[in-house]
Amino acid sequence: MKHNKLIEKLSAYYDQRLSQPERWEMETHLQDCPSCRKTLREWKKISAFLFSKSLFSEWNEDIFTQKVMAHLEPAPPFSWKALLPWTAPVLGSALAAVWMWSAILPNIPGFDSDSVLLSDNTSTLKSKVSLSSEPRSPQNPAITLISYDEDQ
Amino acid sequence: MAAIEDRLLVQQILSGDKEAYAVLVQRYQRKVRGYCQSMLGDPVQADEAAQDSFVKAYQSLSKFRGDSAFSTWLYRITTNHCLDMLRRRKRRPTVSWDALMEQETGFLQKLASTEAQAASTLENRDLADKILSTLPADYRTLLTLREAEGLSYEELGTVLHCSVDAVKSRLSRARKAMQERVRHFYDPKDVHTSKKGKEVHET
Repeated sequence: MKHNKLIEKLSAYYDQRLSQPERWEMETHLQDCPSCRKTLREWKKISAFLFSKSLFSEWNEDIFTQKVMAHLEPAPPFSWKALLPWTAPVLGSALAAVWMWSAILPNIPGFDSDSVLLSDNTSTLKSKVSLSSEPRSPQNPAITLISYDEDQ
Repeated sequence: MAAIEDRLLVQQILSGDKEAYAVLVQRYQRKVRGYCQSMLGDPVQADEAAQDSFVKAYQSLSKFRGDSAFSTWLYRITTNHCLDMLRRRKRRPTVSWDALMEQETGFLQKLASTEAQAASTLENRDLADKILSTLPADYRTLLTLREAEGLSYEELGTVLHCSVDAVKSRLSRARKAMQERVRHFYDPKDVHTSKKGKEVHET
């Protein structure tokens, strides 16, 4: 009776999927049951023969890959889902930039966002220059660079 | 990091980098091709099935939701493709178990001997394929994915759309069927003839 009940669990034991108490029960049974022991031995041996990887014929991996790639469509399948992982960080960064612009920059002494937004290029550059703590001079490389841009 | 994760590769492919798919093909071709050979037997058909499975997976890549591993998803596609091929093949005559025993008695007895494992020859592969082909397709699928590919019960449930409990009981039945197929050649003294002339196994 116990044998018939336990033999149903033999496959799960073989796969090490029994709980600890079930495994102990099975191992105790196996000590006294040559039939179950033999079944386990046979499964192992048959499986080793039928599913031996060394029996598979060799083939060239690079050629296989080339064949698969040659059968693919020219353009990969488009998916909006694929864009989701990228759109979330981009949107987040954009919102953070807007928040910084509206909340932090107006509080910087000497910074006038209106002059930046509403002025032409020249005044924009001037207001940027006014943020610099360095005095305006020909030796200041930052100012030199901006002047170069203006010339362009 | 040694290798780019499968999910990142899938994102790259879906974003337009078709060549990234070659990395996935390189990574899984050995497993997929071996699985196809166990399922179909014939090496030429196994090659074709493996290629077709990779092409189908590429075409369906936008449907990959990432709920399971990419390899599990790929096994599901390969399983469906191989089962389709087996269904089509049913229309053609196949070797019955009795005919196989008659033709291959010598080899089957070799299987029972201790040197069988050491002899990794094409003849052994051929015999293994023939034995597997006599099993019902769902048993063959389960046994190959478990024994050769090492999938867990949970992964098997995902590939075969069934619960872990169902996997457990089906696997038990599949193993018994596999054992019955070759039992004669392991221990002939366990087999005696009944009054009706049929072979009966002692339990």
